[in-house]
Amino acid sequence: MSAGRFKLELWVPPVWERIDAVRGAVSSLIATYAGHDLCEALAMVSAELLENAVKYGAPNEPLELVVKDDDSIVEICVTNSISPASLHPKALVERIAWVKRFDEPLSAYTSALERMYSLERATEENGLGIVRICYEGGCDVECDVSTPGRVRVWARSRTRLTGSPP
Amino acid sequence: MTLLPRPIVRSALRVVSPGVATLVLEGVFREPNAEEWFCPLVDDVHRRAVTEDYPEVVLDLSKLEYANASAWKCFVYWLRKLRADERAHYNLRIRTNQRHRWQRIGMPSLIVFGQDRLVIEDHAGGEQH
Repeated sequence: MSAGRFKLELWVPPVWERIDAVRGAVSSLIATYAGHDLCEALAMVSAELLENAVKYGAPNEPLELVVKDDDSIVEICVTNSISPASLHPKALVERIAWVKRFDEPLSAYTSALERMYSLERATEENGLGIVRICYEGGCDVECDVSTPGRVRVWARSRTRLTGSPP
Repeated sequence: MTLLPRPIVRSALRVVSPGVATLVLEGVFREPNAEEWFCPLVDDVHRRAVTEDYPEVVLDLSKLEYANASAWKCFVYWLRKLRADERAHYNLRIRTNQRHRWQRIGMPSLIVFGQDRLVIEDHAGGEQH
């Protein structure tokens, strides 16, 4: 059994304005075990995952956020309900597969920005959040959409916790 | 005359214009569809910069703690607008705070789009491009 030092479980209301408070909470949690850079990275990751869940999830259904470490690797997982008719799960799977095609997260990031640059309208969806998680957040992303009406996305940091508070 | 007649306050974000060609974003840029209000603001600033033939516009992000993906759309939109408009002679100088990872890691990628029209500098004064 691997050792974990912390596990935070939150039920978050699907309200956009609450996301930033959770981002701050995740930053504070990680600050107990890591430096400023990793705190910001993982706080951003939690915010992007929650934003996607609020944007595409079922309204009025709370989101589950779990932040834990497993052998010094931090994992952030968001689970949300979603309409069975939603096209988001398919798009999410495709987006994650697209990111994985690149050798380096920076290449995916640049490519996503290039696509954004080519769009006529800034309002079009572009899936930059997942790419930010991989590049700016330094995480690998996976998802599970096998249960109808439920989406689970998790990000695992490629940077290990150093072991002691900074 | 500054770029804004008065500060814009939206949620946790404050946008001010303390100088002739400077736009300062402070706080947290986290709105779900920021492009709906920020891109029109970019249009206004761009129009002013073209009409009054500014050599440079400063976008100061040094006090911007966080920006979501929606905000990135707006930054890219500005660069697209700048590069596409032959009448625009100004450069965009983005003033960053290297302490914030999202700025330090993410902002250099914008140079691909802004090329020689974009300057990214640390608020302490060091230029990246």
